[in-house]
Amino acid sequence: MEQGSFDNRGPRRFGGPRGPRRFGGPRRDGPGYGGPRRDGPRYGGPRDGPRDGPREERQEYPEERPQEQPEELPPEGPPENAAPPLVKEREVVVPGQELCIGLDYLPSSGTYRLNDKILASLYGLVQFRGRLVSIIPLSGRYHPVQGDVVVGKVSDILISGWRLEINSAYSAVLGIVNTVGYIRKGEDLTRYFKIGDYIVTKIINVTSQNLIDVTMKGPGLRKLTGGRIVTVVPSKVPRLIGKGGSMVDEIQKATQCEIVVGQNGAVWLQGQPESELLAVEVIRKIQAESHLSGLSQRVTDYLKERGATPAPEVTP
Amino acid sequence: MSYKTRVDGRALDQTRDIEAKAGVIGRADGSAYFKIGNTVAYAAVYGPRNLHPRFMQDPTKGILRCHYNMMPFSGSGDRVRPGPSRRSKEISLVMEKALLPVLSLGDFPNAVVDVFVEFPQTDAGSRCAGISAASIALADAGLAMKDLVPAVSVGRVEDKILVDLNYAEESYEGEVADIPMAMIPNTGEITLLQMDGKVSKEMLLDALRMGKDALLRIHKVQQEALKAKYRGGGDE
Amino acid sequence: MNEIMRSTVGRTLSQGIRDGRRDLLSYRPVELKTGISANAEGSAHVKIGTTEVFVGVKLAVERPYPDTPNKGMLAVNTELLPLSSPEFETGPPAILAIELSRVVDRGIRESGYLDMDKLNITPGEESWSIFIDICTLNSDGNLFDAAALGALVALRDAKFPKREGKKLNYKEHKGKLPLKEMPISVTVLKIGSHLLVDPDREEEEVYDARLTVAVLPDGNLCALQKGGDAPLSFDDIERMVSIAQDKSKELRKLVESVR
Repeated sequence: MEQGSFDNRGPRRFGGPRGPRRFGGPRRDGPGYGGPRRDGPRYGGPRDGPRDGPREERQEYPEERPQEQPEELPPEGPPENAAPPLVKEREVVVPGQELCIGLDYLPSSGTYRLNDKILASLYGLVQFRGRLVSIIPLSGRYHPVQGDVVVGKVSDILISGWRLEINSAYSAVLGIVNTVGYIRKGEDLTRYFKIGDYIVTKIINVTSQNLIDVTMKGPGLRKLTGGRIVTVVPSKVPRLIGKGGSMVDEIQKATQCEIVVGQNGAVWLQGQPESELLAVEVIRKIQAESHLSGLSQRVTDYLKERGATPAPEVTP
Repeated sequence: MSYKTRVDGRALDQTRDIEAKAGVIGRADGSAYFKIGNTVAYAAVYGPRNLHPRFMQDPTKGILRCHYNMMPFSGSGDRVRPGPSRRSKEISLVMEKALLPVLSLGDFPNAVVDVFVEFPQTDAGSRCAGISAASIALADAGLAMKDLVPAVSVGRVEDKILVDLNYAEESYEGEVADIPMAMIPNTGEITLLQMDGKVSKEMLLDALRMGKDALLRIHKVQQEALKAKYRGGGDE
Repeated sequence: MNEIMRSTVGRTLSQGIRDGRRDLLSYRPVELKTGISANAEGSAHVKIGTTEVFVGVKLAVERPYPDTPNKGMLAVNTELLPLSSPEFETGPPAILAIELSRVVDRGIRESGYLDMDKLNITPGEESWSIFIDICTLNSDGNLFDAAALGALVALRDAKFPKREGKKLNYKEHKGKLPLKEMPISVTVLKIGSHLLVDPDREEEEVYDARLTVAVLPDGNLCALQKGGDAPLSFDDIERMVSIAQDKSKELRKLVESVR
């Protein structure tokens, strides 16, 4: 039997097109979340010479913030005269489960058509948007997408760049031409980034064979020093960021930690050791409860209960 | 000769008690526990991930590798020598073939999905328990699948056709046939079929029909295991 | 070395708190269970936090070694199952598996926990041979202590299979193994200037030195294994042994409470 062929699939990968139909979270064209926009030595370029990476201009985070995109699709709810779906909105479904019957519905990411039925091909939460039926996965590795900001870990030093692990089936390559500043040919690349270092990068190209190029040219892209890394399931990153960045902002304010969220699920945070632990705990809670409603309220309560500094008023 | 009542008193079409759970191994991308009678399987999925050595890579799609292994103390009788045997390699192969038809690995050229299945305790039917566990684990790992794949053995003991033979039945003195089978429930297609023993064609088809009903029940247990992981307060 | 992790672990340790809000000398919750494999003569499931191992004991009758014709035999084997960690691979045992097996073996052998004399059936002819197999289920730090605890619990759970002439009937079991003073192994790690027990995975990635100490009921020691790249001072050793002696009391109670 031929491996890897489903009928009714578009040319895109299984995850379906990355369009506005993704999760309710923000668009992925932002720089990731760079933390409160205090200006200071904790941000941007290196502080102490070439050890910390190529010289670069101090980068500031851009003022505009990824915004919740308005849905371009018809309002929610099934089309008129359609048979009601067999499952509820946001219900947990499993691969092979029947979601709805009839040609009034169209399979979108994480679903496929079998005769007159639409079935799930992923383990996740059902989402109906007009005629479209899709699944928001609850697990799985990161699918690299051009334009995503990812936090990568240096795993190898190449002839003219570095290999980064990004929690995906494939590793990414940061070429010296994609770093900021000038690196002479034949220089010892470990002077800039060593194995085990974490770097905030942006994906600039993904080939059909899944070769991934990343760059450090852009606001907020840099080597991370100090702090700690926690990893979350990539499909839960939008919940961690929250609408318009509200969730991550709240955690930053309550814990006084600086946080960078990579779309690949690698999250870097830095603050006082005790606050870092609190931030890690709340991030784990979000990951565990992302499928339940009322998440923001529970996170707020949790932060209060654990004695975090109350979050100041959020000014939009 | 006639096989009157089953050694453990089950009805002919009755499987042993089944328990399943998703997400039991924290370090894995996906995992599952599947117990049928005294046969216990743990499955862990890692990947899709980089495949080495390079010559094993397929530039058109990802590959699936299954690794069936009995823990050294899991068998009745003597200790099982650790490491792969001819038996475990063949079972790994048929497990791959049983699971591949539901997977879509075209998006993962040159990569591999590894499925490790381990047994702390066995009492016949381990390859079927392994497949049932593995398909829960693959779904738990977030891989795209057409369906979950349930597996069970059917067979005959003397004149009776029955499902889910235990070790005592497999080693019954007399005419015995053991037929492990796996199915894609949505299409009714069979993805694993082996047999040792002797049957007529009619008996075989009767056995497969009886097996199909049992597989649909196992399929429900698999679905339920995945749904249960996200039930309740979410404090996994 | 991973700089981020090292700095994180170091700073957290100086504050005296660790992930999970425990202090340097606290274990994660330890859970011990027996009887996880009906086909083993004895078995155990150990959880230390998120680390999980299965241990099984199998018995056989074999000819004793020529130099110890009056004794039984013991073999400890570890399977670092690739199911339990993305870092473990299929294939012959890695050096870590070998070290783990030998450290567990040494604790049991040198303590005299298993009464080898009583495991002889006919001198020079027949002795009980005891296989302890340690299988990792989820590898998330401190496999050394988890494996050692599992071996003890599985030995306490084990019973002899019935002998029927020259053959063994593995369906029927009778009589516990002859066990004496139980050695409790505690592994103490050194990271920078800090000493701690029960490392999680991050801590294990950045440790400088470790010392596994097997402690007898009277507080005396019966086996040691130093690991890690950094040397230890006399002072370090003294402190690490004291920590191990102290922590062994808690673990001993826990093992003894398992039925």
